[in-house]
Amino acid sequence: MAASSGIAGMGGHGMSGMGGMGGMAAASTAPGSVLVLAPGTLATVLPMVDKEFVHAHPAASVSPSFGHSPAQVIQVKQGSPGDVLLTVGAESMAEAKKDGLLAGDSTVFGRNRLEIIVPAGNRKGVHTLADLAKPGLTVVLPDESTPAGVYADRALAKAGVTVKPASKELGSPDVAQKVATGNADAGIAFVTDVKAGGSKVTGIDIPDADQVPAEYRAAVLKNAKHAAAAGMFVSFLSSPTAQQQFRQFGFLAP
Amino acid sequence: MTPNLMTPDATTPDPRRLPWRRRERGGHRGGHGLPLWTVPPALLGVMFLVLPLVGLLVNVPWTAVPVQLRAPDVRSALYLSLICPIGSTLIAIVLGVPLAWLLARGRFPGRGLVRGLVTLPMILPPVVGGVALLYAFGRGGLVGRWGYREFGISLPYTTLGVMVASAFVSMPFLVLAVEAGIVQTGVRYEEAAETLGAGRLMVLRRITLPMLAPSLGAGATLCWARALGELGATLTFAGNLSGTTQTTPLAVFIALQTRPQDAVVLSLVLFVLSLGALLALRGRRMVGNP
Repeated sequence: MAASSGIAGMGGHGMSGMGGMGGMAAASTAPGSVLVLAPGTLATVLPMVDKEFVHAHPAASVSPSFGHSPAQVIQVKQGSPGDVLLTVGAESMAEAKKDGLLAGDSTVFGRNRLEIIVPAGNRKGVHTLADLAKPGLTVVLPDESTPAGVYADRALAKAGVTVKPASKELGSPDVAQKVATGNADAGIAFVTDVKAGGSKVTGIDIPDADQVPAEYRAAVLKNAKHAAAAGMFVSFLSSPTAQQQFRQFGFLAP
Repeated sequence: MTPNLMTPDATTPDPRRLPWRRRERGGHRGGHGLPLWTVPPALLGVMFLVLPLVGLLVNVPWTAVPVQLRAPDVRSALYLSLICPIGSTLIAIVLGVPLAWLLARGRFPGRGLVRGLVTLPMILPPVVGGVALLYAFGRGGLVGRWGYREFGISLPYTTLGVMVASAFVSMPFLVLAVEAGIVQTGVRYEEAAETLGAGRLMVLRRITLPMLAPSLGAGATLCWARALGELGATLTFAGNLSGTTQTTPLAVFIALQTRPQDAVVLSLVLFVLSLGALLALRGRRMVGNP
């Protein structure tokens, strides 16, 4: 823990310096630099959203820091800096709220749902969650320490399926990578990571009855160094411009 | 016949004969040849390296340690951390000792390039190593594809895969240590033995291998220690499953996400094991350089 919060701490110091300069450049709006703590599933879309945000607020800049939501909440609790907290799943945000880390309430800015991911062509004939329990099938699941893993476990429990995975990967993108490189026959991943896998993978729908879509929530942190800019960023996430970007990467409307 | 030139004794003059050493001899302040200005930064250096370990130790929930060490996940992680580094070291010895020999004694073009390539995993980020291993030995990899198709062999997600991944990153340590050992001992004793009528096998058994033992011991210990701490390549190549591929460093990494206290206990175990390796290494050195 010491190591990771140390790294986050260094990033924070660098950030505040940049924020100061941004403030000087446009004193009237003075949004500054926003340190956004975000889950790894947003790693591809967030830079695009950040670009649009900076386009709309030229004096601002955004520094995303990606990690697992539960870990990021623990880090903030231990004093790591951050302006905005984005989480996947309501639990991490509820945890942050309970620990008094938030400046206000959180808002939902997007949703994600799970799919079964198989290599393109689906030669092993996987169609349902129950198929994942077939013997001889190499299945990888996201580890339960990651949000995707929590949702995947829930979906499997709802469907009444027990899967013996070959590996519990550190998140949905890792599952997609293992399937895309042919090292797994099937897995469960967020639809956004299936989409990111391109033509190498195929997604198979998991019915609504078996899953709860994962919410993406945003909130300004209580210890935000640039609270005003952080608030602007959080509202920007729900703007049509940002929502269009999210949609392009496969995220669902809030 | 120039192996003597490679040894430090032959190239560096005896430090005791250097004038600045002699001048310091009377003073005894701070020890022989120790400029006083080095002391403050050196102490800072010690603090920098030791403080994090102290930080770890003061955060250990000592009363909870026995309970946590008995948790099934923890026990399987510790068991895997016992057998996997040994497996990696065996792989490294079987492939690495002949390789070290080739690098030390072989005279062929591109020897430096080969040495550079085989030591690259030492500085390569381990995650990159893991991805590279997937593309070589994974089910869709250059070699792995063939092995999977013909024999149904698949290394990812197996304990053997963990050993392969950590052998990839730790073998260079053994190769370099053994190569240095071979270069340092030179060929004079072997030649002398041959002159006295010893056969090849006799020379290997009575001269070469005993002289190699200290550097092999040091190299194997370094290799084992590096394999013990391996995380990135293992996670990427072999995956993460308790009981099969989740070694102690992986368990620490996962626990850090949600249960930092568990991570501290497992870190303590790795800390103690690493310390043990260091002490073992020190013992071997003393055998090597009496």
